[in-house]
Amino acid sequence: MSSRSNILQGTLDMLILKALAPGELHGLGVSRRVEQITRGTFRAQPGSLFPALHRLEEQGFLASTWQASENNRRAKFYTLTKAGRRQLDDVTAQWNRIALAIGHALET
Amino acid sequence: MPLLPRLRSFWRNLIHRDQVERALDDELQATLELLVDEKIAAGAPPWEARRVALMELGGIEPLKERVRDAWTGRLLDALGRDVKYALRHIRRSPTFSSAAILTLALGIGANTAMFSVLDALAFRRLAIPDPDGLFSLSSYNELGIKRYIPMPLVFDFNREGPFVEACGYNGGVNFAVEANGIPARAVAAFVTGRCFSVLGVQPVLGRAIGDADAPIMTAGAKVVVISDRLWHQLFAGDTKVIGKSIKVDASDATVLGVLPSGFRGIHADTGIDIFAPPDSIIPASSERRPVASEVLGRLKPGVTPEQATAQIDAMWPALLVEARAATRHDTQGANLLGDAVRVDPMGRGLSETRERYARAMSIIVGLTALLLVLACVNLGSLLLTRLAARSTELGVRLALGGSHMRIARQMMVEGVLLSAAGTILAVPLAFALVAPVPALLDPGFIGWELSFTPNPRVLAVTALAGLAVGVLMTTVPIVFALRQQVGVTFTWDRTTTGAASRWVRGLLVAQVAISVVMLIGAVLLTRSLYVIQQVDPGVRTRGMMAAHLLAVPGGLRGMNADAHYPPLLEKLQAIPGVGRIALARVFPRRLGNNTFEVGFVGEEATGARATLDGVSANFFEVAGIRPLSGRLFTSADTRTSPRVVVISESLARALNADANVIGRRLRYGTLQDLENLTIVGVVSNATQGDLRNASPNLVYAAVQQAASFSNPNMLIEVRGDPAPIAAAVRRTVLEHGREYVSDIDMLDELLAAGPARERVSAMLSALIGGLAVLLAMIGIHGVLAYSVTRRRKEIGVRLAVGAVPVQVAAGVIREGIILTLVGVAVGVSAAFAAAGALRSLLFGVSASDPLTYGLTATFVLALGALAGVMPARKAASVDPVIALRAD
Repeated sequence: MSSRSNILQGTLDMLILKALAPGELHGLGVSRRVEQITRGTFRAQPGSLFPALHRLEEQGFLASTWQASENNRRAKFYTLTKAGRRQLDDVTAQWNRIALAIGHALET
Repeated sequence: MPLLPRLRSFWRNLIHRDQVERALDDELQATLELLVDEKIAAGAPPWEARRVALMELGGIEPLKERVRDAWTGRLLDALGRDVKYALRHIRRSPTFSSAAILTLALGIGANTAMFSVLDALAFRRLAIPDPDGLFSLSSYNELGIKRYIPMPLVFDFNREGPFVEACGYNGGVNFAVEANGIPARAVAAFVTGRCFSVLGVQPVLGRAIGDADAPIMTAGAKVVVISDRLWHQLFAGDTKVIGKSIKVDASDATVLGVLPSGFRGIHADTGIDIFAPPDSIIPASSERRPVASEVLGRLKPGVTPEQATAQIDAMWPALLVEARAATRHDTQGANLLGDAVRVDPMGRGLSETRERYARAMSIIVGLTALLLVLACVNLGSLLLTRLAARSTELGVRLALGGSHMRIARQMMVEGVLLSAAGTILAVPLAFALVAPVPALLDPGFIGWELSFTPNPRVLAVTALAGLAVGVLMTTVPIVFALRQQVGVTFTWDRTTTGAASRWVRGLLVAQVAISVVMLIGAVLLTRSLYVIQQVDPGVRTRGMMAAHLLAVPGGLRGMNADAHYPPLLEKLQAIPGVGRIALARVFPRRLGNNTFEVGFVGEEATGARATLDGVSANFFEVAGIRPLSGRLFTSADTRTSPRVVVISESLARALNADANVIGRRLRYGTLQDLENLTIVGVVSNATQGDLRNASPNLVYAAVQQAASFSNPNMLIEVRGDPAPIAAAVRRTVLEHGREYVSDIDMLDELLAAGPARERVSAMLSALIGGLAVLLAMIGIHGVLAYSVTRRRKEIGVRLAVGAVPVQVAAGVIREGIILTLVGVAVGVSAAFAAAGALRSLLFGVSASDPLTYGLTATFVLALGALAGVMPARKAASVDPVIALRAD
């Protein structure tokens, strides 16, 4: 039951993919990384993050494994699949195109 | 969206549900622990860390819910769980569930049955291509009675006018037929060539009747096209039937063609088994050229029926002048030129059953729809009762994070399941309810064969109705459910109070009221039927046989009634068991309502109307009609002496005759030879065959004074077993020549069969009224039962502190009676207000008859008390110890 608009959902998905590009993370880690790479602008709430992670996994963009975390607890780690990398490239390109267009529009 | 991974996930979510759930739980627990560790590492105390962590996550369960929502196949999965949950719920309260399912089955089943009947009567189309394109041209005199059209006009309509193609049609009379040694009776229609083309039907064997077979101006060929039904009956489906010989009435004919099965002409009730050219197997007399009862045709493209009517109206006078006059003069002698013509759609064919019953049927359907409303109301109140009982459960669910939508959806699933079960049960119920209808409506015509069984279209509508009901009914409690406060109320003693309970009471009262109205209607109709059957017909009915004679082809040519009938009567009286015999033109087979104006000669018309009958001199004596003043017919009244008549008592009164009417002169209608009749006697009132009109204004004329007389009704006194006597009468009449017996019945049976419409109305409305009351009682029982279940603790307390079980039981029954009483009061007032609607169907009973109202009210009250008996017993048998322990 997503109460976010599609734009926001798409943005979150993109950020998650980007956060996982360097390597695998567990859910909490993704949240921290997203906050980090957006310099604090975006805080992925657990209520939208975890559904998004599961959704991306179902779509085949992420894969998951159970591993030991930093403090030796078992946690579910997510990693990008090949399709996920392709998707990240696609949405990045799309986002850039949109940003450019909006930029033009706002200048005039 | 990539499809394959989604399908995989869908599959996994469906099959490995438990694993998926556990994994989610693990993941979120792990996340929680990680977060807690983080906070502890930052210096927070453990319990504080946990509290803040939980808050940040927003609670484990709600988080799980949100993740679940993201899973593929969510809806199906949720639906599946809702169904499982609903089934469990339904199983756990069998009384409520069976009450609900039964209610729905009754409501939907009754509606399906009645709708099927109405569909068969009013909506069904003929089995021809494009039935709505078929139109019929008929002519009506100024009284609106349909009249015949000379067949030769059909040629003109094919040459000019609004029809692409037209044909003449005259059908509906049954004849004796025989082929291959097998006798039967079949209904025949006489058609011009092209009729099959107009109807759009081709024979499957042989060919259709063509223009060459039906020249109209001269005799037609003795050929017949038979129906599939008759083909099987007489020829056992032999494909070499073309050219074979078949005897129809007194003529020999050959089979020209066989029609496809399912097609039986434009008579929707009986169907036609034999199509023949006019003036062929039944020869016309030279004074009587063939006539058509309607001209069937298809209109030219773009021509509306109104335009067609106008066009033909304009052509009419010229056409009639051209055509050879061919109609029989009716008693008014009006000529065809004054007739109004009309082009009407013929898509549904002719159906006497429809004309007779359509009005009664629509009322019945209205009542049945009301019954369905009742069923819905019932169900709604039952569901509301349950909802009130589940408010604790709902409160808990909402507190745990359940959404209003989820709860609403789950309740809707439950409602749909219940109505699905009810709908499935309704189908056999509908078939069962429809089964006796043909027997009720059968007017006894040969070949009458209307099928009322629900067809696929009706059943589809039923299924939809059932679903709609289920959905509709759950919206009512859902409205209440959604207003639920999130605060959990764990009160251990909840009596049924609050808004839900008020609605329930209101709905129950409405139910009882509606069923009271319907029951009152049913009782009124039944009493009406009873009154009709008790009516004194004014004639002797026991041991009387009524035979109707019709002429054989050519039988009337050169007929001399004076020479023909006396010897026939002698021969008939020689049959053992036969007593006196009288003759009458109309009695007892009164058809329609042909009354004409009567008045004294030379005086102003008083507005009195009467009907005419021609009877033999001994008629009054044989029929048991008493002479009141003056005299009856004697042998002195001949064709040359002045025309005398005997009138009925009611007519004497209607003529405002203050003094004696004997000897005064009467004028009947406008015919020349009926304008100077001498009244010689007054007799007691007698019916002409319709019990609803047992005292008609009658003018009896003497048969011996009539210019011509044929096709009489014979009133025969019989003693002993009527069957062999009837057979002997048929034989004797046939042997005597010129005429045959078309119908023969015992008079009491004939009269009793008359008020068929009242009988049908009474039975159907009694059935529906009964169903309505049953529904209301189920409702009351359900609510009381649930109330007792809910209040077990309260009852336990009362019993524990010393209340006698009887008091508790009495309390329950009292509650039921109060509800019923209010409902009855409302119902009686409503019935009183609506009484007028039924007036046209009632006979001899006032629409506001107090006895009926009183009896019905008492009956329903008693049932209301009865409905509370079982819940009362349950209340009285509550064990205080067990009740108080359960918490």
